[in-house]
Amino acid sequence: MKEQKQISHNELKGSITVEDVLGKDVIDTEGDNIGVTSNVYLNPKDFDVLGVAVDTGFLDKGMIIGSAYVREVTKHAVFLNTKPVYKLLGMMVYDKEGGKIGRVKKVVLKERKNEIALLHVKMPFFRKATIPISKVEKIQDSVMLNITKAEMKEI
Amino acid sequence: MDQYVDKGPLEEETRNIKEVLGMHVLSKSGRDVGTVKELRTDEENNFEGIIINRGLFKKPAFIHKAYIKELSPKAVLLEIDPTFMYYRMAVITSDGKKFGTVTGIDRIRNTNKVDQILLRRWFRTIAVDASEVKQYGASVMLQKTYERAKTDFT
Repeated sequence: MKEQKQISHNELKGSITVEDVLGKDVIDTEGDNIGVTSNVYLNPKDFDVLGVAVDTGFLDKGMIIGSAYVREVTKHAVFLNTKPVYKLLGMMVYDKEGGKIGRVKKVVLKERKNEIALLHVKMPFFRKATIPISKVEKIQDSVMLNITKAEMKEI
Repeated sequence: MDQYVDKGPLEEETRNIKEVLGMHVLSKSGRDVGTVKELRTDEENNFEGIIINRGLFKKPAFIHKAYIKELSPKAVLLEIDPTFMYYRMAVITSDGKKFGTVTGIDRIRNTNKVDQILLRRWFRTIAVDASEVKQYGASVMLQKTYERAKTDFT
């Protein structure tokens, strides 16, 4: 059991309540609004915050973001210190030379963390490709690989 | 093919300009910003830049060669995110509240450096200095909180 320390008035002034978190916009590192907080999960044993549920819109499944990925809760929004990988779905994939490869269909994560292990890419003519993260140069508005289309066939 | 070369590359070492026309142009962040409409040269026929066709109802843009990273076989890769990408982006304050929408960008001369952004808030247009901007990404984030921005930017 945790040792209870005294709580000062100053500490309480700077603290926030669950109500302050609920209903706020969730903004990722690129300033993109990814949804609204709909729930806060607490560990019933030690009362630690496990994460927040994010409602990403009508007909969307939503997601739960671990507290380690929350950078700050401000008056109007919850800021994350990461970009959720689900945003990669449907993103265009380009090779090293800027040639179109296809679109991201599925993202395989490392141990349910927000880290990518593999990308499944849907290509034209019903073809598919699996790309390991080591072949990805950068991910911003699109996924840019560090290999050419011809080199992809060797993977 | 007969080749007549004094000082310079042979035909195999040069590039057909026609192949570049119509190619997609990718910004630094990987966004498709348009297609190559024209290749421009100076009076001595040195390559100076490209004109991008940005789509219907959008003005074409000239990109100088200094901002071009590579003319690859499949696309033109830029060194920059051209400022026209910020148009119609949401402007949010440092505490995450939407403050307005970008309606215009004033640049320093003809460079890609932002001098000030013009944003629409309700029915007013507000000019915000580039130094007040914290980051450009999926939105334009200001340094100030909503309360400060409301009083300072009028």
